[in-house]
Amino acid sequence: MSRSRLTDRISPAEILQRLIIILSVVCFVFFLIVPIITIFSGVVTDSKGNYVGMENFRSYFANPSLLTAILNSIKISVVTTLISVTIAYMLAYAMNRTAIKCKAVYKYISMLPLFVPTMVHGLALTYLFGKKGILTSMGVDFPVAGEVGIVIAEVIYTLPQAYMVLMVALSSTDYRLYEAASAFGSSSVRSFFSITLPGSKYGLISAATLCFTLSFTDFGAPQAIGANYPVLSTSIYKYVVGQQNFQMGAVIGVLLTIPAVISFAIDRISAKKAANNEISSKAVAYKITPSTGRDIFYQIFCTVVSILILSIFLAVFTIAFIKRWPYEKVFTLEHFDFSSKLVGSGISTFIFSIKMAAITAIAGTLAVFLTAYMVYKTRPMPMLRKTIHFCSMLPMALPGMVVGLAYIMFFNKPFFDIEALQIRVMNPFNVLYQTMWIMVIANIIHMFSTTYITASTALKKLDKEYENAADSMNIPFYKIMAKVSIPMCITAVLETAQYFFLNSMTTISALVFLYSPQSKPAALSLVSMEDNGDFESAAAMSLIIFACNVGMRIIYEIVNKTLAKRMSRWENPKQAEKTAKKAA
Amino acid sequence: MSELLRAEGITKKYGSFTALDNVSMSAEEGEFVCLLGPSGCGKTTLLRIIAGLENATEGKIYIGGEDATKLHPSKRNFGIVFQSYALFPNLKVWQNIDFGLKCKKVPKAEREERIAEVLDLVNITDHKDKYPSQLSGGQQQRVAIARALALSPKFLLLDEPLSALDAKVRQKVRVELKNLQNKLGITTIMVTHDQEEALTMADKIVVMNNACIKQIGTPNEVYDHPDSPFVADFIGSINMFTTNYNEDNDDPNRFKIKAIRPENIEVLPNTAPEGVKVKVINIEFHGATYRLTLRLREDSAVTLMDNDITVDVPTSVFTEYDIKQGGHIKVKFNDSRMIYYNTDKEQPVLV
Ligand SMILES: Nc1ncnc2c1ncn2[C@@H]1O[C@H](COP(=O)(O)OP(=O)(O)OP(=O)(O)O)[C@@H](O)[C@H]1O
Ligand SMILES: [Mg+2]
Repeated sequence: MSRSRLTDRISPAEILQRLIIILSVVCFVFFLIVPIITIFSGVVTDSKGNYVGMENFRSYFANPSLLTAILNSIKISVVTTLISVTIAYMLAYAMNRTAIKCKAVYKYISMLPLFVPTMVHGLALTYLFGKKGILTSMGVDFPVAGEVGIVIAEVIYTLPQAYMVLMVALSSTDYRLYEAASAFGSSSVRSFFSITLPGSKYGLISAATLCFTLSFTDFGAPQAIGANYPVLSTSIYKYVVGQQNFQMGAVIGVLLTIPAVISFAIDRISAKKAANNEISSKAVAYKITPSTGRDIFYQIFCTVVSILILSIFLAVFTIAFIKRWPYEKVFTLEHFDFSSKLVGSGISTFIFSIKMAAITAIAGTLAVFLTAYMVYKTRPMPMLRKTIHFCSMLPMALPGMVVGLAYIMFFNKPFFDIEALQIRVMNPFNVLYQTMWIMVIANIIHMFSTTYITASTALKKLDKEYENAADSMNIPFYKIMAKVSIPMCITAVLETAQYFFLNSMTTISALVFLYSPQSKPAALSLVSMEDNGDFESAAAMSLIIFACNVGMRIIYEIVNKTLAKRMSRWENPKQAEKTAKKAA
Repeated sequence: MSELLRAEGITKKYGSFTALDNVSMSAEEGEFVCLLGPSGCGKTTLLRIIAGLENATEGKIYIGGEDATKLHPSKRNFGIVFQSYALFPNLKVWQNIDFGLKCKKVPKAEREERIAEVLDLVNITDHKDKYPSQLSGGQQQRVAIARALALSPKFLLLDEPLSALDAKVRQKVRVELKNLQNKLGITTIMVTHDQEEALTMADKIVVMNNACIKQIGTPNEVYDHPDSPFVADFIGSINMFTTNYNEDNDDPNRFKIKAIRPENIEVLPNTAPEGVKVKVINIEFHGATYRLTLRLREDSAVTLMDNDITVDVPTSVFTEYDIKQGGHIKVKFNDSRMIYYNTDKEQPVLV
């Protein structure tokens, strides 16, 4: 076929689309599929790469301390889930269904734990209840190291996440149900158990699976306050970093993945069911009935929860600004001068983190939106686009530590031996090993699913004929994407970018295997500071991270508001009315 | 006139579901073709295949005599107006029109001229600095047409362009759109499920049902000589009766459908010497006319199956004959306008 005929069939823009689709498949293959295969093949081979079947599992379960680690992890996660979901449910209930005062204040305070690495919650507990802790020196004796501390730290960590899920679940209901119930003489307690609770069933399921997975796979909190209480995430760290035993690491990695996969499945199923159960468009918004007793109870409850969360941050502030608690209680800024310390490389780690988070945010947002756009808004290569969609959802089932371990196992290999062919292939990705880029990629993959869902939800809302109209006018897709589709979902773009940034600043689980002394993020410097007992520096570093994240969030909120105002001009009047109502 | 567009043997399958089954149609240069049919019959699918936005499972598309089956939509040189209009919401009216011109690298002065021209054509110049959300439905529709025309396409595709408008505006825009098409002489294919729209606007109507084309013809042809009971019933109102074939001799197992439009039935007073005796079952006021539902009386001269008859009478006749619900009158069929179909079944099956 002649050249001109071929370009008639496919426009240049479509060739570009095909290239992007192929490129993203290639990226998923090398940055997701192959590393996963590497970790799974590590499970069934010995350190020399010989096939050993289930031998690694056998030796794992023969090790009593590892068996304990599993049981401990399960115990911690179950208790955390129960406590966290209960508190989060009551908080969300208070926000949606009661007339308490200062709702905004409680809301912001309950979000604070999101802005620091999970290690900080553990550290703060040590600052409060440790041997030289603030409360200990005041005579409070509450030995927190170990089990209790981990659970408290995990509850603080998971609370905002569960709260956000439950907020959504409780904010939508049909008031007519309650009216009907009270017409039948149903008491408010009965209404709660027959309407409120079943109505938020799917929210509860998804909050519970989320809490369980998060606390099951979290590394920061047990590392900070776990003492010698073994859990899976700290065991995998010891085996891989301490003993370079990748085989055992892979086995633990697989064990860590199981609950995540199960939650992923449960979540998908319940999301589907929830979609079928959507409340009708005729639903009437919930009217808060006056009840003084209820309001007083929830006012006290929310205040107590807020004080507990604030005390965590207060402890970090105190340690960071006091010379040496409890011996020298004088104000100082010297802990913020990291240059005097040998450990943790000081402020350079923070600068590194900012750089990494910014690059992750920009590259990640770009990748996520481009991927979602290709999947939902283009025509060519339907099978590959389905594959991309699947790969985009896959990371949701992968704990950060597993991503990290899979990456180190794949990227640190200088070459692969293909035995069957007797050849040795260079690993071109080995150059990424121990650089910032491997961390950026690990972060993007680790957070891909959540952000991809945000992006595709926003893109799906747009009329799918924009692209068709553009085609008819010979407008290439990238122009329509840049001038129409992306501006139309700019709020989702910003949300994605800030999610990438915030989480890159705080996550350590994916990076704990990947950093090197030259490329070390601030959140990870906390680990070595804590290891060295340098609590003051750790507190100071935590505060810097916290301030940076809060600052970023404030900027995000301001930009978001400005944009929302600008965008309201584009909405049709009916929609604008709805948005206005929602805001009010 | 020469042929501009042709779809030949188009079949479209979604899995095992057939959305179009061996469909062929064509459009002459400057012709206004309406694709008409009930919801889900495949009109939009056919339009999108002509546009290249969808690939046919089988069949060929010819544009200007050349095989365009595999041609990318951007190379087919058409303008399209979607049911949702798909105006870019974040671009002002003039920017919506400018976008395509800019991508075509038309010089600025020329672009401005062209924008002014098409805005004037659809009479929307006053609103050029507004965002689409600030326009009424009718105005948005005009912008969509202006945008589709801006690149001077060879043909225009419209997917139910009027369905989002309310009845009054729809009638007005219908006339405007038809005038515009006449003036420009641009070949146009419009999808609609509104038979009145098709009858008033089209040069040629393609009637579809269940993934197939039932009839192609001018509005007069499909109205006066519908090929099948389906077309007869779908376009305009019609009375259908099944009669035993035997009545006119021939095969005893077959039945015949007789069909006649309401305006071809004459209403006579009960005292008239000729005509069939009927009872008035229902009266509907339609402004200039009344629509009567009538039932054959037991003692009437003919026996038809028990279908009711619908008749339109002018208000003057209605008052003159003093027609009342439950009252008795007579009707006379204009036999030369009676249409006959054969069928195997007892009830008229609309196929
Ligand atoms: N992408 C698709 N996948 C599966 N089935 C489809 C798809 N698009 C259309 N169909 C089916 O093909 C049939 C024809 O659809 P089409 O949109 O052409 O109907 P239509 O005649 O335009 O109807 P309407 O008047 O409701 O717009 C419908 O039954 C529809 O459900
Ligand atoms: Mg349609």
